Amino acid sequence: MNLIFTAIFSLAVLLMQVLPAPLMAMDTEFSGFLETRHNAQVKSPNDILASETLARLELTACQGNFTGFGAVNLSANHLLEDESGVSLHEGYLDYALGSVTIRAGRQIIIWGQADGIRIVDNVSPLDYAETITRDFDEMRMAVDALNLKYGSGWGDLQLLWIPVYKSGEQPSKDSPWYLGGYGNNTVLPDNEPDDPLKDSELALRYTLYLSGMDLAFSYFYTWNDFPCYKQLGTALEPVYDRVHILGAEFSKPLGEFVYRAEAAYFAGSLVQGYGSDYFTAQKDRIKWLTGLDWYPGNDWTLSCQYTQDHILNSGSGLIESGCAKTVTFNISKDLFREKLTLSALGYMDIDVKDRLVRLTAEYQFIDNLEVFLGTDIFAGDRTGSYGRYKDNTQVWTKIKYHF
Amino acid sequence: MLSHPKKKHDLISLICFFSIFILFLSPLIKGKAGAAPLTGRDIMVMVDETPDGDDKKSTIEMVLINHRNKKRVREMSSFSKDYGKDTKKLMAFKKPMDIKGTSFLSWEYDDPSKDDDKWLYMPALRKVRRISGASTNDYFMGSDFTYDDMGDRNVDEDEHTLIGEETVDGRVCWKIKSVPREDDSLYDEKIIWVSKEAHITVKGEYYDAQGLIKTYTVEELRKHQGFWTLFKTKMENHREKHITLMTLSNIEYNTGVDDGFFSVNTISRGHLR
Repeated sequence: MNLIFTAIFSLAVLLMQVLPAPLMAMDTEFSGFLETRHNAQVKSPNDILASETLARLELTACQGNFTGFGAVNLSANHLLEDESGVSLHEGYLDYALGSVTIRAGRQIIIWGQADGIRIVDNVSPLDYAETITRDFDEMRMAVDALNLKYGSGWGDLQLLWIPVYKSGEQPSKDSPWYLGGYGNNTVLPDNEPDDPLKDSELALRYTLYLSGMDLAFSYFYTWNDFPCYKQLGTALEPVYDRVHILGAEFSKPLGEFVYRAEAAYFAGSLVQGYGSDYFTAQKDRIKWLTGLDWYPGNDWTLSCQYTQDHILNSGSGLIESGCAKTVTFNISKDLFREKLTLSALGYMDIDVKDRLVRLTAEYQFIDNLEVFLGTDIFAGDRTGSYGRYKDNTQVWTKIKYHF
Repeated sequence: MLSHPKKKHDLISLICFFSIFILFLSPLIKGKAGAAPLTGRDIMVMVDETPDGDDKKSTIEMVLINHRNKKRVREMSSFSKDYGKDTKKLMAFKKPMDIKGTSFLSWEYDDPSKDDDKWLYMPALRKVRRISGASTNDYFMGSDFTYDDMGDRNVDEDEHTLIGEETVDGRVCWKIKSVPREDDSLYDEKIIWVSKEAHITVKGEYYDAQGLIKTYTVEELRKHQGFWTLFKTKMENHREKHITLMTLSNIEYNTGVDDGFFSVNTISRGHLR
């Protein structure tokens, strides 16, 4: 499917270049960026932990009420060669008529008020394949969906139909970010949901933009992003199951502050267990988050968030914690008329006390050319999500040119 | 005792004469009292109420020039619509390419006790987020204009005093001193020159305790579609030796843009038509 989309879009880009002028009467725009990024381990043996050069080519074409958009990634991964290649990042057609917008095709859909934490934001899965330290927006995977939006003055109603299941991506065995395997067990081939009608996903979201407050309510009938495994002798069978997610979001400005809150109830979420054997269990879970942004002026932005993830009646034997508590912070300051941005971002698991701190300096040499320097510091107990990568504390650089 | 008939007649004549005289003078006296001199506030109210259509659409180019004469260019599409004294604005960035598609939506309220509602759409995050409407003293996209300089600060947030009349670039102007009533401004004082003909500020000087910070000048002002319109303005920061030139083009008034356009749904599409 991916290959077909990529081929169609690449052909469209090619046609745009060779078509005669009258056919090019539609309003078209070609843009994109070229980026090279390289991460190196701080500790000996100072391995390269990520190294990629990426070109993203974007084409927007408008005609009447229609807008077509496509973005292709041309990637040369210098560390994980399997990740290199051409892929369709996004490709969709928009139709706008008055208050109604229909977007059909491959698209990234992001919900929620949280930064860097997923609560109600479950539509577009994440690609953890290479490194968990990439920005959230760079890890998003597009879904093939029909997206209908109706704007009615104060509020927007959104309906989604996703006929093609898309699972998240985990780091592969040869990646420095590999999460570990399942012992000597053989993992049976994937049996992802693949019936475009019976297995499709549905979502509904109503957002209210009021004077002094935003509110949103959502329902998502979906599948778990990653399979859980069930023991069959010495083999492990991947299991996918349905989950109903009910979500609510809230944000309110209070002077220099913006208060945010978000909660989601997962009915029948599949979780992984391990006793003497691997097993799966269906549990309800509640995730919630509260956060505060502060805009004190002078180009400072400060924010902090607190979040909990409860598995209800978790019992024993689950791989995940029955109640995970995480706190995050983000501080950033623009200097020299927004040419230089310094930022510090942190995540900490309150129980395990492991943490990730990312320090970044972003400098705009000239318009459209940015240079980034940064470090990701992993610390704390090795059983935690961040502490496990203690040896992967890294320095990194990225150069990005937009055209 | 009877009064003398001649004397009585003279008295009546005198009363009649004075009555007619006072009656004749009264409109002049009344008119003199009604034409009280204009105050600084009266002039700033006129500036605030200068006709600018019910809605406006334009392309704004900002050229940022530093002390080494290096230039950076920002270009955006701007839309606004009046709702009484309140205004809804939408701004979408076209250049530079790294912020292309970034859009601001603001519902600005005349009432200074009510914070504006503001939303920001960042295409990389594909998400609209509410931002604080309180920080109006920050500089806009690295330029020399603060959000307050670009927006409609409520007239009564400052104390305005008419201090004279001067000619600026051939335009006869009122010269006004504006001092913030509260400690909520970057400036301790502004000196403003308002064109008597256009009722538009054509020059401004911004001061703090250390003296002059920056000077605002108008380089092109003319009537367009029946409205006095600013086409080119300049803000010069004397301390940082930095200049911002702002040029407006493709200006259209009273386009009849739909109310639904000034919505979060519009900016979240990522492309404006």
